[in-house]
Parts: sequence; structure tokens; C-alpha cells
Amino acid sequence: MLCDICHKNKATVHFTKIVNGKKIEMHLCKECARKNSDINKSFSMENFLSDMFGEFTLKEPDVEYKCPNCGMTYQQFKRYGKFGCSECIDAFKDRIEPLIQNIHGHRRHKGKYPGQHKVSESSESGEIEILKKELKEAIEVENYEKAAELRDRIKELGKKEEAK
Amino acid sequence: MIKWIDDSGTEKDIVVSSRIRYARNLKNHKFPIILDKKETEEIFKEISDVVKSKDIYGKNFSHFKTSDIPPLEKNMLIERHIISPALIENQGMSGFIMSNDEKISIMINEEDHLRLQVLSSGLNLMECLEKADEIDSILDEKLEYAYHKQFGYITACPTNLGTGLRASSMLHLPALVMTGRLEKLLNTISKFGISVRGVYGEGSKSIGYLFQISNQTTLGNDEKTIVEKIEKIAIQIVNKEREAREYLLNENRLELDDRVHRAYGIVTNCTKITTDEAVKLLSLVKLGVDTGLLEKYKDINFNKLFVEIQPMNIQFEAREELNEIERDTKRAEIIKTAFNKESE
Repeated sequence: MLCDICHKNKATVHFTKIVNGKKIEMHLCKECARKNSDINKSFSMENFLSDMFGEFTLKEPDVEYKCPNCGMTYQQFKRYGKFGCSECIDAFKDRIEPLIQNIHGHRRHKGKYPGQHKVSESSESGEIEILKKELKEAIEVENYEKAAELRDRIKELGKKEEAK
Repeated sequence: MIKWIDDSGTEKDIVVSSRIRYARNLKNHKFPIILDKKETEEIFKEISDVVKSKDIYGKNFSHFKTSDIPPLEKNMLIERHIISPALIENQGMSGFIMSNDEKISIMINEEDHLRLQVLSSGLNLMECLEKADEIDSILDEKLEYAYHKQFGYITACPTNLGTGLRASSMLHLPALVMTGRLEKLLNTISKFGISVRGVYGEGSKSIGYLFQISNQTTLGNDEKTIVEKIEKIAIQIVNKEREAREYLLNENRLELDDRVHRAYGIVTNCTKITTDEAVKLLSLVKLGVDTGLLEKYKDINFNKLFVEIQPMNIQFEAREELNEIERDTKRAEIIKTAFNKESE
């Protein structure tokens, strides 16, 4: 398993918190765990989300993280806990992917998408191509958890296409 | 009159209501947190125009800017669960569209650009989902939604990403509370990614044994899976509540009968009563009716009554602002009337 923060090193520090009945698991490498030494500070319920954002970004300056579309900085996002526009998510992707994993236990959406009710075949096979590429990458970095998720998704899309 | 509470849905002795909410945003606009006034108006117009142009639900919709609605009425709509407190907080820029039967509402510029809600009485989540899905698809034809290949529908808050779907159900669980079984049950439920909170109470404290269950996460499972899970768990809880009622009737009948009739005695004879006390006592009376101890009143719609006795609803129906004592007096009258109608 790779570190939730840097995605490069092997995660060796594992811990679980129960906050308001919700289980939060984190897996970090030694280096990131040390950098985030106050990670064990208690969560404040009012600012639960901004605390979570904060814990992932300790010490590092965020100047480089700014949404090119709306101008929201990562610091502002942390404070509000909300995106400024539809492009912030890509601008902050590296930082928020672990956060999304922690909140939802997943990193990939499943279900409805815009235009689904009038979907053309090409869009689904297009998605399969993208997923296949991601799958290859995941296997290369030995992220088997993600790979399994992608494999299932490809299978599912493939089936849908066949059914047509 | 509260319109959305009617005969639809099942398990109505225990499940008060079902709700489906979709969160959506428009791709080409900033999100509400950093919007300026001009852009909020463009968004309101854009969404409102699309709803007007399409044949949704027989076109039975009314369109409002939140700031145009008198305060009393705004709060009344919150009590009826048609709009949210957050919409009022954004009232300089927010608006809403409501179907005339109150079952469908579209909030504009709340936390997200668009929040579509479908309400039903009883347990009826699948039908609500179908309806919400249908309306969402119609809107999708004209509106360009913000969507991310990996993370799904992009919502203002990361906690709503993916499906943007919140499915919830309100349950009346007096017997589980009385038998002390609820806490254990809730602990188990939270392990399934379901959150539970009290209704009509501060924080998680529930006043009249009313609880709301909903999905905690929105990303990674498709809409149908999420809704089926909530529905399955709701049915499990309903069965446990029935078992607990059976237990009380068999093992503790005298005690239960006494509590129910005392509650009945107070709500039907008092001159004034606070919301908290009324909800609590009516909850017990409802239990009495549902267990056959007070069968005479089986035609009273308690789920409706719970909403009708909320402070803003009382004032709304009275068409004037009332002080606390006046409200408490009025509330006692409303309850008495509801019971008298049935005993006539």
C-alpha cells in the first residue's frame, strides 16, 4: 500500500480514528508521518473538514496551488472547505485525492453522468480507453488496490457496451 | 395545509417521510461561495428558464427569489422541509422553484448552484429517486453540469462529490428508545456508512423519538445502490421497532398503556403547550394509536400534525406573528381540534 499523501513510498504508519461514529483510516510513509507530526491532534467537530485539509498540508507553502480558472488558492479552499468553481478539483487534485479517499472510501465515481440518458457508444468506449491507460499506470506503480477498482470498472463498462 | 404529506409510501406507522436530494453545479459559473450578485442572477434565470421551458411534472411550478418571501413564510417552508436554512442564509442571491404539491423543490444558489429535492411521505425512496432522476435528466438536456471523469458530479463541498445524492428517511422509533435498544442499533448502523441524527432537536438529541437516517458518502457507489442500502436499513430498523413494540405490549403493557394515556390526557386537555412537549407527547399518543391502545384516533395524521404544530407553521396559518404564549395557546387548540374531529 502506498502512502496516502505522497503516493510514492510504501505506507508503514497506519492509524484509525473514530470521529462521530465515522471511521477514518490513514496510511502514511515514515517521511510523511514525521512531517505531519501533529496528525494526532484532536479533531474539532466544527472545523472537521478544514482540519482534515490542514493535516494534509502542514508546513508546505501553497503558493503554487491556485485554480487558474477562478483564482481560488488551496489555502482558501482549506478555509472554506468548498471549491470555487468546477476546475478547482483538478487544480488541487494531488492534495485532495487522499482527502476524498478518506471521506468516501473511494476515489472513483460510479453511477450517473451527464448525457447518460442519450449516451452514444463512443463515449463509453472512450472512457474504457482512458481507464485502460490508468490501469496500466496503476500496475506500474504497484497500486493494486486502484488497479482492481479500475479493472472492475472496465469490465462493467464493457458489459454495458455489449448489451447495446 | 401541508401538501406533500399524503397517502404515498409504505410503513407509514413508523416511516414518516423519504427524501432524495441531488446536488448539481453549472460548469461555466463560479460556485456560490465566490459568486457576485450579477452572476447569481444569471444562474437563477438560467435554471428558472429551463424549468419553465420544459414540460416537467405538468409545469406546476412556482418560482421565487428568496429575498422576496416574507420571513415568516421562509421559516414555515423550512419547517415543512421544503427549503433549507442554508438557502435563507444566502438570501441575497438565492432562489427556489417549488412544485405546487410541495413534493419537488429546486433550490438555487444554496451551497451548490442547484439542489433538486423530491419528498414523499412514508417509505418511498425508490420512487423519489426515479422522479429526481427523471427531472435531473430533463434539466441536463439544457444545462451544462460540472462533471469530472474520475470524481463524478462536482459539488461545492468534497463530501457530496460523485453522485451528489443524499437519500434520507425520517423514522418514528419510540419503542426502541423506551426499551433502550436504539443506541446499540445505531452503533451497528453507523458501521454501514449510514448517519443518524435526531429531528426537531438540537444536534443529535431527538425530541419526539424522531430520527433521520441518510447515506454518509456519495462517491463510489451508484445511485441505485445507495438508495437500496438506505431502504434496506430502514426496513431493518422498522422491523426492530415492531419487535420492540411487541415486547412492550407483551411484557410491559400496563406501563405502556399508562404512559400513552397520560400523554393523551395532557395533549387533549392542556390550554397551552410548547413545541417540544407537544412533539414528545404526540409521539407517545401516536405509539398508542399504532399499537392499538388508542385505536379510536387511528385516522389522525400524526406525521402532518408534527409539522403543523411547529412555531412558524402556526403563525403562517394564523396569518400573523404571535408571541410565545399566543403560539403555545394556539398549538393546544390545533391539537384539540385534530382529536375532536376524530371523536365526533
